[in-house]
Amino acid sequence: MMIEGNINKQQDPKSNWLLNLDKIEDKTRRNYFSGLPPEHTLLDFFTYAFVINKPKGRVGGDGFWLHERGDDVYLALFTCVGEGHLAHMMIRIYMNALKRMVNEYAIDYPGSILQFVHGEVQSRFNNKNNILLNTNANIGIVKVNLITKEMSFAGANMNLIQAARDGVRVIEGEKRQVGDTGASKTAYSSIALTDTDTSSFYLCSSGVYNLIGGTSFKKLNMAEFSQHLATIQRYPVSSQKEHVEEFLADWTGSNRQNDDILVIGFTP
Amino acid sequence: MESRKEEFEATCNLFINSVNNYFKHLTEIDSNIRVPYLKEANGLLLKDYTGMIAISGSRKGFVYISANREMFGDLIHMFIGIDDPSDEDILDMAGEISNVVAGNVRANLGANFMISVPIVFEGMPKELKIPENVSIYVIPIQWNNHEAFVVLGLE
Repeated sequence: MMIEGNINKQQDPKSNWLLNLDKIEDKTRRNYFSGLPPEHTLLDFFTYAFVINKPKGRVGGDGFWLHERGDDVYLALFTCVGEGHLAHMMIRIYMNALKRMVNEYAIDYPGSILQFVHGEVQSRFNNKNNILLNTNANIGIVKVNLITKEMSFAGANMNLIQAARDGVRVIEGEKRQVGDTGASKTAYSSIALTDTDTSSFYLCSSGVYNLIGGTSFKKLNMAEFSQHLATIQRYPVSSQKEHVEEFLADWTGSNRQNDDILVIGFTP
Repeated sequence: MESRKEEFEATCNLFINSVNNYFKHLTEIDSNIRVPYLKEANGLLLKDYTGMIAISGSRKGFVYISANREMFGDLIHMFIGIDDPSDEDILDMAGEISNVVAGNVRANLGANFMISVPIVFEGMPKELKIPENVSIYVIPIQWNNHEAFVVLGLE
């Protein structure tokens, strides 16, 4: 198909006509955000929840997935390696793997879900030589029983931060990513969590820890971010999103955001 | 100081080289540049999918890369191994090629010449308004039996 000659002429050439380009909707950005669950749907399952999603460009390589089965809800956050549009394509591949898991296998344990997703991505890209795409991803997945508040977590190169009454704990996932086509068979363990009814939890994309700034112009580390999460526990949960956004903005300062950022906080 | 015409041609060459390098290095299939030509602002050429980049600073304008679904589908097959790309995949591929080309050009332009992140669209958005005093330069490109356009417009 080719289209010719339908461009609207602008009568005043001195006006800032380039602003019109900003009025054109970028379809990839629309697809990116519409492919993720709306923030308010988390509130159907959690006492409080927020999502901070700031891709570096028009689209990002971070995504999340939410699924309800019986009394359980599953929440996964994933960071596809790379950035921009190719990483955005990988998000859909991971989402499709999770949908397939739900529709055909109904796997219960977060660790087993990671193992399944790893196998799906591996088999999809097996024998595809010379592809430019990095198929790996970091994933953290939690399973929450909505009645009992029992929770379990599994991570593939991603940790879960728990802000409990006695302080902040980092629940460490496995150090291995999922989707590495060269990796041998990989297992991920599911970790049962305690004090879930009196804690808040945070999943973060790896881009948060790539943010350069602070007083020493260095990357934000998990201890610093966890410390901030500990300090905001004295505020109402409904204002936590604002505090986290302010902290990340202050850390970055006048530096350009150098990676995609996705943070999900929730109170079961 | 370079004349406006020389500056315009130098900018065109930057985009031509960037597109050529993209295809040559990433697909290992050379692209062929057909004879470029000037066109009126009201007769822009757009194929199925387009990645458009705004130019600002000392010169104002735009550049876009436009091609049909089949070309982006071939690139997806080569890069990612997907044989049945979705519409979303096609749009992302249009964004990816525009981003890479824009990034390479950005590295070669002076500080007074800035280019934006590409906007990706399908068909002809009604919001696209181009003033009549913009010089439009069309660079037809042939790659792997597909035709694409790189179009540069500068005030």
